[in-house]
This record gives sequence, C-alpha cells and structure tokens, in this order.
Amino acid sequence: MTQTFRLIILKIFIINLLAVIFFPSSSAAQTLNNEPQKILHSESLQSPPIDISYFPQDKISKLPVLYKGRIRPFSVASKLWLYDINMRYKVKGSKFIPFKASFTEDLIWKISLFGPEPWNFTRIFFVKEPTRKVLGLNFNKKRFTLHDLNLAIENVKKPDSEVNLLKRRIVSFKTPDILMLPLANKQAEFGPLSLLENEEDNFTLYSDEHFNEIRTLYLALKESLNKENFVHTQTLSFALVDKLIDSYQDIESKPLITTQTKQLYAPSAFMLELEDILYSSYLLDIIFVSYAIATLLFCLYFIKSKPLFLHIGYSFLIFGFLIQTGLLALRSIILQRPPVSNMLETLIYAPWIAVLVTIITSFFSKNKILPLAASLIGFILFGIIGTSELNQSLENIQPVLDSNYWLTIHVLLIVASYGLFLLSGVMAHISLFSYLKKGIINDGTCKFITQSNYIAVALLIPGTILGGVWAAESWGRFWDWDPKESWAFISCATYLIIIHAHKYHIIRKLGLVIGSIIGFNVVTFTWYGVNYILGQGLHSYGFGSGGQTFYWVFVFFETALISAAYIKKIRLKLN
Amino acid sequence: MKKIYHFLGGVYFAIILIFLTAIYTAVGTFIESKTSSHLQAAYFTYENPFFRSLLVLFFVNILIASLRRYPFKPRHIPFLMTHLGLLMIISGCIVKSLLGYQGAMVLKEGSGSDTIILPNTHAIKIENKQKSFITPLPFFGNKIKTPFKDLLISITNFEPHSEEALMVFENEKIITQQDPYEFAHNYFIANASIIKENMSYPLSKVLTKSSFTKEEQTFNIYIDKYYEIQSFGNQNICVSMKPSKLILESSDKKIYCFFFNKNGFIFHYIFENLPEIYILDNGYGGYFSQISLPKNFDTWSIEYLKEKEQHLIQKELEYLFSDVDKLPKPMQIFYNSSINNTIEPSIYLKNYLVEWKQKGTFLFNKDDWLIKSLDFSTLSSSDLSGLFWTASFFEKLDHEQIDLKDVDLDFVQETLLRNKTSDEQELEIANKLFMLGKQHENLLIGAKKDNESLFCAFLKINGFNKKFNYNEFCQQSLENEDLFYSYSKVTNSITSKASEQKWEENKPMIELELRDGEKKENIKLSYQIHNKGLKWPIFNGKYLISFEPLTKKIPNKFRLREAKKILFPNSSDVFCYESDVLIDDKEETISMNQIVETKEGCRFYMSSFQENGMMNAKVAIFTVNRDPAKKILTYPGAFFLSLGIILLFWVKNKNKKRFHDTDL
Repeated sequence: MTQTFRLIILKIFIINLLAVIFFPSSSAAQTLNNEPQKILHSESLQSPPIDISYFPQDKISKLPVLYKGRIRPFSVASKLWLYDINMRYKVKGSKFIPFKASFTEDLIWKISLFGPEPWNFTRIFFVKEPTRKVLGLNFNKKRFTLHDLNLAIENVKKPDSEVNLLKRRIVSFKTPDILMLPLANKQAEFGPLSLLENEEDNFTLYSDEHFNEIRTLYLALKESLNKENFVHTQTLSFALVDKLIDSYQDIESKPLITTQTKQLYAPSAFMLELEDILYSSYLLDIIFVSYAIATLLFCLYFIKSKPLFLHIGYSFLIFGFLIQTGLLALRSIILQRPPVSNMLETLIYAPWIAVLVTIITSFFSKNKILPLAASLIGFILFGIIGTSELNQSLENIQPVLDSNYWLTIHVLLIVASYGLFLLSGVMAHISLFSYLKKGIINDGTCKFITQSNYIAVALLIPGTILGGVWAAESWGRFWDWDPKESWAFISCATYLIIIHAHKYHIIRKLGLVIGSIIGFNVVTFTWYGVNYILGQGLHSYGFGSGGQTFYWVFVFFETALISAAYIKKIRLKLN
Repeated sequence: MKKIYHFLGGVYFAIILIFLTAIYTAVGTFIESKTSSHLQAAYFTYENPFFRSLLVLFFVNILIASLRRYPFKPRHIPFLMTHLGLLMIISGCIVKSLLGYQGAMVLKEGSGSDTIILPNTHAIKIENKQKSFITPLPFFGNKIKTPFKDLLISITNFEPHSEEALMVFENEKIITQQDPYEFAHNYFIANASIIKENMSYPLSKVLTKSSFTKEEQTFNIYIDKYYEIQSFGNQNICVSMKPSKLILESSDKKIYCFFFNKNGFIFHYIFENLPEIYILDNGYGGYFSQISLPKNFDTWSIEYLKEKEQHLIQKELEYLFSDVDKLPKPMQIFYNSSINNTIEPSIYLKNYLVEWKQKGTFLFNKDDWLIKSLDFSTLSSSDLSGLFWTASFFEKLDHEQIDLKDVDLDFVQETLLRNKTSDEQELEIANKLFMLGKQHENLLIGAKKDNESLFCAFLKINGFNKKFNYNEFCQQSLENEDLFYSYSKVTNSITSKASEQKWEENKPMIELELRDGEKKENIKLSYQIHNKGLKWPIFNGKYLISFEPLTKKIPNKFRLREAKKILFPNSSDVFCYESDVLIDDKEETISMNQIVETKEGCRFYMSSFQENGMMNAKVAIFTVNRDPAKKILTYPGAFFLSLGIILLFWVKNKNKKRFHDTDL
C-alpha cells in the first residue's frame, strides 16, 4: 500500500477515534457532519453503499473495452478513467488511488448497472484550487462529491474552461465512457450495455448467437437487480462478464475500420493481456532502481577499486537492461510500432542504446568509465521519467507518424544516435572532472569518446537525411529548415567540426572532451529544447512544457564547468 | 593562388563554414520561436543571400577538398563517397529550385483544377470578358504591362499588411467628428442620383433644398414611382438612391445601419455587434450585400413609415377628390357632406380610413359629427331601401355576431356555407342584399338607420373595402416577415496596418493607378492568398482585377471527389485523413504518408483538411510538387553520403595511421 493510502487510512482512523472519544453514543461520521447516513460511506471511502459481493472482480479486469478510442483491458481503462475524473493517476504506482485496487473497476461496473446516484455523496472529484475559488467550494478540501459539485456548478454564472472541463468529468462519471459493445456501423463505434434494453436485433459485431446470449444474460441481470435477488445477481454478473470476454474472439485481430489506405485492427487477446501486465507492473521503477544501484556500485569501484563492486554493478546494469528490453518489447508489441513515437518512449529507448553499446563493448574492452557513464545515463533519464509528468499511457498514434517503415528507419536511427551522444557526453563529463582533479585525461576514454561520436554521427546523418526523404515522401519537400531539422543540422555540424578538428589535430584531448560536452548540449537541445523551449514547427507531435528552469540551470552549470576546465588549462600551461 | 586554392579546400575553411552555418541556423530557429513565423526566420536566415552564399562556399570547399586528393586511391573511396554525396544533395536543392516547382491546390469537395498556387508570390490578375492575364509584380519600377489595349497600370503603394472590410463601412474616425445622422444625410445626398432618360444626375444638384433634422428625422424628398417631379415638366423621372444602405461604427462601438427606401426615407437600426452580411456576386457588375434584420427592426421607422404612407394616401385622395363627378356614389355623399361642413375631404377620409384599418371594421365612431351630418336624401328611394337592407345585415353581422347560416336567405346560405367572410364574399352579399332591398322598397317604410351604418354599407356596396385596402399602402413585409433584406452594392475599404509578428498572417495591400485611354481610376487591392477572394470591377465593369499569388499549370487534371476524416472509434482523435481523387480520370486515393505520383513526375500530397460547417463546404489543401533532381541527385546523394559515413568509420579503424600521415 502506498503512502497516500496509508495516510488516508490514518486520517480516517484518527477521525473515528476522536469521534468515539468525544461522542461515544453515536456513529463518528454522522455526529461530525450532522448529515444523513449516506455520508458515512463517503468518509470511509472503501465501502460503497451497495454490497460488492456479486462483483465479478477477477474476471472483469480482463474484459476488453473501448476507452478514448482504443480497445484496452477493463483494468487499464478504468485506471485511466479514474485519472481523468480524479486527476490523480500514475500508471504504475497505486498511490494515486484512494481506494482498493479493484474499486475503480467495481465502481464503473456498478455505475453502468445502477447509475451514479449511490455515489452522490462520495468524495471522488479532485478540484484544482483556482476552480475551487470559482465554484466557491470549501478551500481546505481537495476532493468533492457529485452532490457538492452539482450544487456549486448550478450557482456559477460564468463558467470558465476549467469548470466546463469539470462538467465533462461529471458527465464521464455519470455515464462512464468505457464502452463494451462493438457496434456494427462504419465508424466501428462502441456502445454501452444499456443499448441491449431497447434493441432486439443484433446491432453488434458479435455473432448472432453470442449477441443473443449476452442480451438474455443482461436482461436477466437487470431483472434480478430489480428484485434485489443478490445471489442470483452474482451468478448472472459472472456469466455476463464471461460471455462478453468469450465473445471478444468474434472481433479479435480483425479490422475495425477499413479505409482505402489503411486498416485499424482490434488487438488480440494476447496483446490485451500484455497491456494489463504493463500497466500493473513496476517496470520503470525496477529499471530506475537497478541503474541507480549499478551507478552506485561503479562509483564505489572507483573509490575502493574492488572488482567485486564492478561485477555486481555489471549484473545490475544487465538486469536493468533486460527489464528495459522487456518494457520496450511490450510497448512495441502492444502498439504494433517501434517504441519511439513520443518523448517518454525516446527517453526509454536512448539509454537502452547507450547500455546496449556498453554491454557489447565490455566484451572486448576493460574501460571502466563506459559502464559508469551508461548506468548514469539510465539513472538520470529514468529519474526524469519518474519525476516528470509525461503521459505514460498507451495511446493511438497520430496520422502523420503512422508509417512504421519510416518511423523505424528515421526515428530509431536518430534516437539511437542520441543515446550514443549521451554516452560520449557523459564520458566527456567524467573525463573533465578527472581533468579538473588530476590534470590529465585518460587516453582510452578519449578513444571511446571518439568512437562513440563516430558511430553516433554515422547514425545521425543518415537518420536525418532519411528523415528528409520521409518528409519528401509525405509532406512534399526534402528540407525546409524547420526548427527540428535546423537543430538536427546544428547537431551534425557540431560533431562534424569536432571530428574534423580532432582528426586534423586542431584540437587535442581536452578539446575533444570539451567539444563532446558542447555537442552533448546541442543534442539535448535538439531533443528536448526544440520541443519544450522553442515549441515551433512541424514536429509538433512531441511538443510539451516543463523543466525549462532545470534546463537553463543545467546549461549554466555546463558553461561554468567548461570555463573551469579552460582556467585549469591556462594554469597548467603557466606552471 | 595555390594558397587560396588550398585554403578554400582546407579543413580550417570547412570548420569556419560549418560553424557559421550552424550559428546562423540556430539564430533562425530562435527567431522562428520568438515570432512564430517560419517566413520571417527564412527571410533573415535560410533564404538570406548571405546564407545562400555560405551554401555555395560549402559546395566549393567540398569540391576542392575532394579534388585535392587527386589522383584518387582506393583508400579515398569513403571520403570521396561522403563528400560526393553532399555535393549531390546540395546540387539537388539548386536544381529543384531552378527547374522544379512546389505549390498548393485548394479544392472544395467535388471541384477540380489543373493549376497550382505558388505560395509567397505576388501578382496582379486582370480579366475582361475575352481573356485573363496574370503578371508578377515588377522587380524594378512601378509600371505593369498588360496585353489589353489602352490599359496602363502603375503601382503607387505597397503595404506588407492590411485589413479589408467588404461593405459600405466607414471607420470610426469619420463618425467621431460628426453626428452619425448628419453624416448619413450628407452621404445620401451626395450619392443619391436621379435617373432621367437613362442618364443619371446627382441628386444634390437637382434638389437644392432638403432638410434633415434629428428631431423630425425626415428627409424631405418623397419622390417615388407614383410621383413626378413637377419641375421637370411632363417627363417621368424616377429617383434611385445609391447606396441604399450605410453601415457605420460609432465611437461607442455601436453599429448604425441606415437604410434608404424607395420613397427616400431614411430609417436606421442600431446593432450591438456587426450583423451578418452576405455578399452576392454579380460578375462584372460588382458585388452586392444582403443584410438580415430582426423582425420589427425599428419600431419608429415603421410608425414613421405609416405616417408617410398616410401622407401618400391623403395625396391620392386629394387627387381623387379633384374630379367630383367621377367619384363613386358614397364618396360623392362624403364629399358633399364634408364640403357642407367646410372640411378638407381628403384629410377627413384619410383619418377615417386609418381608423378603419386600426379597428378592422368600418362601424365606429357613431357620434362622429361628420358621419351624423351625412345626407342620404340625394339617393333614390330604391337605392335607400337596398342600403337599408345591407346596413341591417352588416349591423347584425358585426354587432350581434349572428351566424350567417341562420339567415334565412338562400343566396346567403349558398355563398357563405363554404366559409365565413372573405372580402369578396362580403361584397357579394352586400350587392345581393342591395338588389334585394331595391326590389322590396315597401318593406322599409318608416324604418330608420344610423347614417354611419348606411355609409359603411354604401362603401361596401361600392367595393370600397377592396379599393382602399389600407394594407396595400403600408409595407406589410416590415411587420409580417421575420427578416428584412436590404441589398446594396459592396465596396471594399482597405486600410494598411502594422505588420504582424507572424508574417504568415500578413495580408499585403497594393494601391494601383489605372488608366484606360482618357479615364483614370485608383484602386486598393488586398492580397487573396488562396485565389478565392473577390475580383473587383474597374472602369464600370470593363475589367476585373485582383491581387493574388502566381499560379502554374500542371500537366495533370486533378479533381477532389471526396475528402474524409476518419476518427478512432468513439473518439475525436484522427485515425486517417483520406481523399478520393481523380487524376486524369484515374481514380486514386491520397492520404497522409501515402502520396500519388503521376507519370509526368507531379506528386500530390494531402496537407490540410477543413471540415464542412454552416457556411462552407469541405475543403482540402493539396501540396503539389515536381522535383526533377530528386531521383538523379538528392536520393542517390543521400545514399552515397550515408554509405560513405559508415565506410569512413570502418576504413578509419583499419588505416588509422596512414590516414594521419597522408592527409595532414
């Protein structure tokens, strides 16, 4: 159980305790609020007012449903739905959920059967502070009940965009847009179960036989609910969910939408299974922790020079790498495309390349800075993923990017080169630190930096040019000095200068190291800065915001570092 | 010389070039970020002659660097391959910009074209009914040559950004100095004209006297098709007012609409926001606007209009009463009575008719002295008897609400069984009753009736309720229809503005001086980015002129059959943009990441899509280009460069030492 949950339990416990002490004669919550019995449920968030004994909890999480334009397992859809309503969500942790893990699925299932009324007094809606002000809600609370919000929204005269968003969240709560019936129409839309009440003929993509069974079960379930026959209800619930899961094979892996140029397929049951695993696992955290430990061990090795640290460090590095490979593979298999279509995915893929190269190199080289650099990259980037608010959910791809052929060639090459530039950059940093400390730069490391730069450039330039070819094939021009293109050019130019200058001995080791650090910064800007700082141009699908301050602090630090190295060099010369 | 040659092909020069280009490019991206304008960044950097010359120097540098390695040895292959690849890419760009083209095609669903718009080009297009002509703005000087005889064009001004208003719209400045009413008055006087024998005379010259005061809000030219202007003798002259509508924005941001009706009355309406205005295209005749106004858009103007119409009725009655012998019988009685009482008959009758209109019946005002003084003695006794009958009937009908079916008269039954009282049926009844009454004179001896009832019956018998239908005099449309349409000629008002930060949003403006033989005109034109704007008539519709981008004919005929936006299930996210098109009568489908290339080398890409809405059809924008160098230079160059870099890396490891020795 996570911290938030523990805190809530603690709070409830304390409230109850105080209530029992001060008002021993009556129920705690009732006396505290002087409100009807229903409030009791809202305070003890875990127990919704209707008995959950007939809820087909284990089964239903596997049920394929449609949410936000994608077919996903019910467990995943319900988590995303809860985030949209509650504004608290982390795909992997459960600390955002103030309920039991099964609560959301249970809630949605019941709302679709009973309607939202029983939860009118449950504090489920997170409201941001400015909106709270607009709505005139209690400042000290962050979550509000449907009842509170309905009252508050009625009284608002000029609803702003946030209030409208809240209204949409309320609608989404009242009729969860998690849809279960694939409709047999052109747009491949899905519909709620309640459609079964009106139509007799098969209007779904399911076979007639399945449809009739589902309909019979649903109607029977409704009837037994009306009769409040809970034992029977439970059996029927189980049977209905079973039947729905069973019927999915009618559309599994088949095209939902067919246009002249492409098709949209329903994911297979296996892919849905994988998606469920991906969302319920802690892969990102495991990778982060193993790289962190590896980094620590490699550092210890440098301090204590015990080979044991190195070996354990390597095993953690490889362990992290394997998990990371699994994560990338999962994402690729589920989404049916290379895992490089958004910022998060590139943040996972780039260090993967860096670690991959390190592991391969480790077979024929004994350089110890390389693994340190690689684990450091993993540690830092996964740290960024963990702390930033990047969208981690699996979503549909934009039509511009929907070309696996080009996405694979262009983006895989480019992001791979980023990984290697990061490697050379981090090695350069380590070398520069050692230069500042000892006044010398390791020849072997320099060789690795050069090699790394070479391979990276050999990936970046073809990658960029192939990007041009892609642009020519899908937008109609090869090169247009779009900011992303410009900065790809600047990256190439920077490394070309370093390579030429180093090759013709215009710069030596220190020059190479400083050059690689500058190159590292240029690449970072191409990668992050163009999308997050410039925010202009045609590569708009990667745009975002956040982290600008950190970035500028980092750049300042880098400048200071390079200046320090230069001062050191002058001093050494003078001596 | 050799030194220069070595420097130009040397690594120092290469590094300097790369460095300068990189810095220049970086500055460009920051300009683009700051201004959100790729065009502006391109102007200062990528398309700047300095940047272009850097690229040329690059070319020279790489070329010389390669040539310096002559005679080539096998170990030079990666180096040469890489640099040859670069040379090919750069020359590919140059060839494309010289021989290829790239443009846009903006198509509504169902339309087709074989010309493309070349973006960021400026041209003047002139057409008459025989031919059309397009020419880019001249590089030097301000004269534009045209193939049209006698037509001379010279550019007097060019502004990078402007705002165009398509209506009779004067901006605030004029209004703040003057009273809007007074302005409207002067404006109309200045623009109204009288058409006489197909010649047009300005009204301001014809009418020396006119009054328009705010209190009365009248405009004393009531001339319309019913009236002649006496001072012009016997010729028929009608007055047409141009424009008949004026929209003004006052300093308090209210929109005043002034209308000029056929009678020369001004009435107005005040809008809080600018109303919707539809533009109708009249070809060489220019454009007309149509504006819709709410029901009862201005009550005072209706009241005012009524008064004016009453005035017209009175005038008509005056005319009617001028020849007493020709008057209908009831009017003669009326006339005689009013003369006996020394009242102007036309005024009295008018008031009577207005009340008639308001009350919906002519049985009113029994105590009216004029009605009381009516003298029916001039009528024959049989006529009087018929009148009695009719009056009795209508009295009953109006006052006691008798059901016509109860009247024991066959013909009444016959007439009225179908339905009750249309005007014609009433007249028919009245006439038949009258005839009946005439025959049964003896039945009515001693009976007495109100004068007023008798008079009304008399009017009815003579069909007056038809002839003097008040509604015909008042503009029914104002009261009964939801919308009032006013049509007037559209002019454009273009004002220059400061350039936007995002240059893509700029709408340049050009001022031209046009000469056609002796005649001279000045016109302001605003840039029509998609060639879909309005073409303005010049020299009374002899030519149409517009300011738009250059176009280019492509070898293929292209037609957009259907543009589709396909969404993911239950979502607003787009799964696929797709267009079904016909290229030279061959069916094709174009979508993002799937383009169509024709035999002639034209490539079609779907670049943008606009959904249909209330006011527009589905529109798709296609990028069309032709790049003759792509397959022979750019792509092979890219291939060589990529392969060369990989080889360079591989060979470098092998021959590391030798490289260092020889290439320094």
